[in-house]
Amino acid sequence: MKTTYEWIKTYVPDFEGDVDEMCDRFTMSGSEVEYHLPGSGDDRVIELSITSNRVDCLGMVGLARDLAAVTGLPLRMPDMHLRPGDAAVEDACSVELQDEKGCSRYTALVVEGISVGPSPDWLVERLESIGLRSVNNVVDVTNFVLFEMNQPFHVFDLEQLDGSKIIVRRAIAGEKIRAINDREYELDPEMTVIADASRPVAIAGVMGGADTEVSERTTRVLLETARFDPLATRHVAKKLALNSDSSFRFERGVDGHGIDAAANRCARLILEVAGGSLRKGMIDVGAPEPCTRQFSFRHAQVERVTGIEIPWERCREILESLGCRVIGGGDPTAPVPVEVPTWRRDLEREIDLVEEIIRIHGLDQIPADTKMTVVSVADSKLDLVRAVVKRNLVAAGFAETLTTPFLAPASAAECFFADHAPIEIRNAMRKDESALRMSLLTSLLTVRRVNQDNGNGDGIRIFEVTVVYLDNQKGEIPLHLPILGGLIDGDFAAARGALELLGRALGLKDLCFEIMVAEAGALEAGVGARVLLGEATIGFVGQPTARKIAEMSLKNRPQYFELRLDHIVEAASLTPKFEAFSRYPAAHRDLAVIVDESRTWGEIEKLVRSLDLPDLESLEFFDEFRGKQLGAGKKSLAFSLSYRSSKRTLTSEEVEASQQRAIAAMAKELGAQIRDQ
Amino acid sequence: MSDLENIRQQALSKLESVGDVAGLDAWRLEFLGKKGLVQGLMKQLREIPADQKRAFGEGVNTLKKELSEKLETAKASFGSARKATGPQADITLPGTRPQVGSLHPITRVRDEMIAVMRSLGFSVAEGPEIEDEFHNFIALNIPPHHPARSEGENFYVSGDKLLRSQTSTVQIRMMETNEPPIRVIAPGRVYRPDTVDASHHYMFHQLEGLAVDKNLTMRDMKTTLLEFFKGLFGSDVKIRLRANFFPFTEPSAEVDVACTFCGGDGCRTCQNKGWIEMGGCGMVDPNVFKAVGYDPEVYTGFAFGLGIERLAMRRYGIPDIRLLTENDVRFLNQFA
Repeated sequence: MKTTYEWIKTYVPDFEGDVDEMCDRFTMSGSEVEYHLPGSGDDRVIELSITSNRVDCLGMVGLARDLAAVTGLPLRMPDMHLRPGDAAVEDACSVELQDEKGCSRYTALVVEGISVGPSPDWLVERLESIGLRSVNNVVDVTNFVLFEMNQPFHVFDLEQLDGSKIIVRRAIAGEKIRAINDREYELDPEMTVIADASRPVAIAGVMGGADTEVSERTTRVLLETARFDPLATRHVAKKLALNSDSSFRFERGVDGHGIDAAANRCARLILEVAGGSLRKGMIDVGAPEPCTRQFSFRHAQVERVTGIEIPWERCREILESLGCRVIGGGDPTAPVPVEVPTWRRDLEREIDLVEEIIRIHGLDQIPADTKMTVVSVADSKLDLVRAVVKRNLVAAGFAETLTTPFLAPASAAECFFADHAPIEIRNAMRKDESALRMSLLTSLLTVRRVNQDNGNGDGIRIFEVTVVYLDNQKGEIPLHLPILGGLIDGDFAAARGALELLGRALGLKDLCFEIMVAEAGALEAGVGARVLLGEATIGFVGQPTARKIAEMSLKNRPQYFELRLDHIVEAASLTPKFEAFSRYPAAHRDLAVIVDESRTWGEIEKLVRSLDLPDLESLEFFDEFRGKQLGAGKKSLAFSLSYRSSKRTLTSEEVEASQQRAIAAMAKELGAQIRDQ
Repeated sequence: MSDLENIRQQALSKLESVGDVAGLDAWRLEFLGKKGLVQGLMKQLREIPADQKRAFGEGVNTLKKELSEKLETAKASFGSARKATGPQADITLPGTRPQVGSLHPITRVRDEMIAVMRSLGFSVAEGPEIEDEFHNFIALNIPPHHPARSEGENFYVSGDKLLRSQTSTVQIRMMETNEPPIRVIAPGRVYRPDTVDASHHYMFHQLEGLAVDKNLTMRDMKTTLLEFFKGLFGSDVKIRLRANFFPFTEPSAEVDVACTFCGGDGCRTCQNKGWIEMGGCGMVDPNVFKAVGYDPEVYTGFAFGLGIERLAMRRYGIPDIRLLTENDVRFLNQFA
C-alpha cells in the first residue's frame, strides 16, 4: 500500500514532523513502513504493509486517523459538502436489485452536463505518486476517492445504459462482457453483474464494461456506490483471474456506513473538476445498514493485560480519537458501554479496545522490569537421549545434516519399522517431493551424492535425528516416530562401532546384533545386521542394496544405520554407575586361533565366556586374517584376554591354567587350532 | 666481596641476558671453560693461606657445580647445542587432527535459544508436525475462509490434516493437557509451500514460547523477551515492540532487536531500519483460552514465535538459506 507524506498531511494539517517521523509513527502503531522514496516535488512516497485486520487503513483517511490518534492532533475530514440541483435522480434512471446476496446495498447518483477531459495537476500527481495512471478527470476522481475513503465506485455513461436502467442480478450462463481492460470475460450464474435493460455492463465489484465507460463524449454519468459481498467478490475475481483495486477492497469488506459520505465526496469532486450539476437525491436500494456495534468496556482490563496503569481520561481520549463513542462513562469503575465505529469491524470485544489503547498509547511505555519467579525445569528423556546421541556422534566425527521429509512416493515407502504406504501431500509442489519419508536412508544417500557431485572425496560421516510419520490409523494424527539415521564411508565394523559407542553412552546393556537374513528398507541381506535391544528390533545397520546404490548414482558403497529412538528412550540409563576396579596388576595374553570360515567370533566369545575363567577381566577381538599358509576355507581370529584379581596379584601358573582351559575348549567345541604358539 | 662471590654474581647476571644456544656456549667458555674464570680461581689457590685452602677449594667446587647446573637448565630451555646443528623440528607442519563431527547450525542456534529460555524457567515441549485444522487454525482463532488456511499456504495431507504451518499449534496442545501455570517453549519445524530461493524455503524452524498464569501482563512478556535476547546477544541489547496483528494474540506486537551491526544507525544488514525483526508476540487471545477450556477472566498469558533460520543465518553470516539443507560437508564442518 502506497501513500505520500503530503497526501496524509492534508488530513492532519497540524503534523509538523518530517517524513521519517511520520513513518516511525505508522510503523510503531502497526502499519509498518517498508521504505520511502522521492515523489512529486518535495513529496515522499511511503510504502506500508497493512495488516489484514486493518481494512480501514487501505484508505488514506484511515491511516491519517491513526496518525492523528498517536500524535494527539485533530483529524480533518475531506470536504463532502454538496449542492444538488432541482431535477430528481429518479427521473433520470432506475435501479432494480435482484441479487441481494451478492449486493446488500446499491446507490446511484446522477451528474449531468459534465465535460470529460484531462485532470488538474494535483489530481494527476496524487494518482501517479501511488502508481496509478491518469485516465480522465471523472475516472481519476473515482480512483482518488477510492484511495482516500476506501470505498470503490463505478461511473457509467448514462447515455449508454439501455433503458437508463441498472439491474443487479446473477449472470446468465454464457453471457459475455468486454471489460474496460479490453478483454472479454465469459460469465456464469454464480457471478453477480450490473446489467442494463439488455446486457451486463459491469462485473459487480470487480470491473466495469467497455461499452458504458466514460469517454470524452460523455456528458451524463451515473455514479455507483455499493456494497458487494466479500466472498462472492473473491470468488469471481479468482475465477476470472481478474483483480482490481475495487475487488481487493470488496473482498476485505468496506464500511457499510461509509457509502453516503464517500458518494458525496466523489460527486463533489466530479463537480469540482468536470463541472455539471448533480440531480437531487440518491437512488438507494437494498438492506438497511447493519447496526452499529456496542459492548461494555472495563477500564481495569487495561492494567490487567498491559501491566501499566493508563488513566481513564487517557483511555477515553484514545478511544474517541479512533472514532469510538464512549456512552455515559463518568464512572470507570463500572463497565462502560462503548460504540465502535463502523469502519472498524475488527473491534468486536473488550480485548480489542485494550489493544487499541496500548497501541496508540505506545508499546514503548511498557517497561521490561518484572521480577521473574524462579522455576527449575528438566529435559524430557527423549531430549536427553537425543543430546547424548548427537554429542557422541559428533565426537566420533559425524556431521549433523538437515534434510526435508519430502521424497518421491517410491523412496518414501522404504521403511524399517512399518510396512504401510507413506503419507502423500495433496498439493505437493513437485512430483518427486510428494510423499513423506518413513526412513532417513534416501535422504542421507542423497546428501552423500551431493557431496560426491561437489567433489568432496571420501571419508564422509553424517547423521540426522528426526521424526518420521507412520500412518497407523486413518483419520488420526499419524505416529511421529523419532529416529536416528547415520551414514559412514567404511566397512561394516565402522558402522557397528558407531552403534556400539552409542550403546555404551546410552547405557544399553543388552544391545546386540543379529545377521539380517532378508533385505530390509533397501539394505542388503546377508551383510548387514538387525540391531536388537533385548527382544525388540530397534534398528538396522549395513550396506544399501546394489539397486539402491545404482538408483542414487553413488560411486562408493557407504554403510548406513538407522535406529528408532522410542525403545531406546525407555531402556537408556543416562547416569553412569561407578564400578570399583582392582588395584592389582593385570596379566594380558594374546591368542590366535585357526578355525573354519563358517565359525564366527561370536561363537568363540560365547564359548570362552561360558567357561567362567577365574578373574577373566576382558576378552577382546583384535584381528581377522586369511592367507595361503592357513589353507583354503580357514581363517585366523586373534584376540586378547586379560586377567586380574581384585584381591591379589595372580601367578603366571594360574593364568596359564585358564589359558589352557580356553584353548582346549575351543579345540574341542569349535575345532580351533592355536596359531604361532 | 670475595673474587669467588664476584664471579658468581657476574656469571648469574650474564646468564640472564643469554638468549640463544651460541650465547650460552660463549658464557660456558667464559666461566666454566679450561681458561675460564672459575678455573682461574683455582690458580689463586697457591696464594691462599694454608688454613683457608680447604674452605676456598670447597667454595670454588660449589660454584662450579652451581654454574654447571644452571648451564644444563639453560641448555634444556634452548634445546641442546647438538640438536641445533642436526635436523630442526618444523613446528609449522600441521598437527594430526582427530576427525571431529559438527552440529548443524540450526541445532546450534536452537540449543542456544533453549538454554536461555530454560534459564528463565521455560521447559521444552514438542508437538506433532502433521496437525489437524483444529490445532493449526480453529483453536488459534483463524476463521474458515481466512487466506492463511488456503491450499496455497499449506501442505495438506488428507482430510483436515496438514503439515503444521506454525509452531503455535503446540500452545494449544500444551493447554489442552496442562493446567496453568505454564511456561513452555516449543522449537520445531514448520512447512509452507514457498518457492525456494536465497531467503525462502518450504521447511523452516520456529521457536514458540507460551506463558500462562493468573497475573501475567505485557510487562512480563517484554521482560521475558528482553532477558531472552540479552542471553543471545549480550546484556547491552535493545529491543522494541511495535504493534502488529495475529489472530491468536491480542494485543499483538512484533519484537525487534536493535541492529547488532550498526547499533541502530542503519546499515545493509538491517536494511537501513536500525532494527531487525525477530518475530511476533502478544497476549494470548481470549478466544484461544476458550478453545482450550481456560477462563480468560481468570488467566492471562503471553506467547511469542521466533524464526530460527534467520537468526542462524545472521549469527554465522550464512548468505543463502539453501546452504542449510544442501549438506555439503565443507559447509557442515564449519560448525564443528
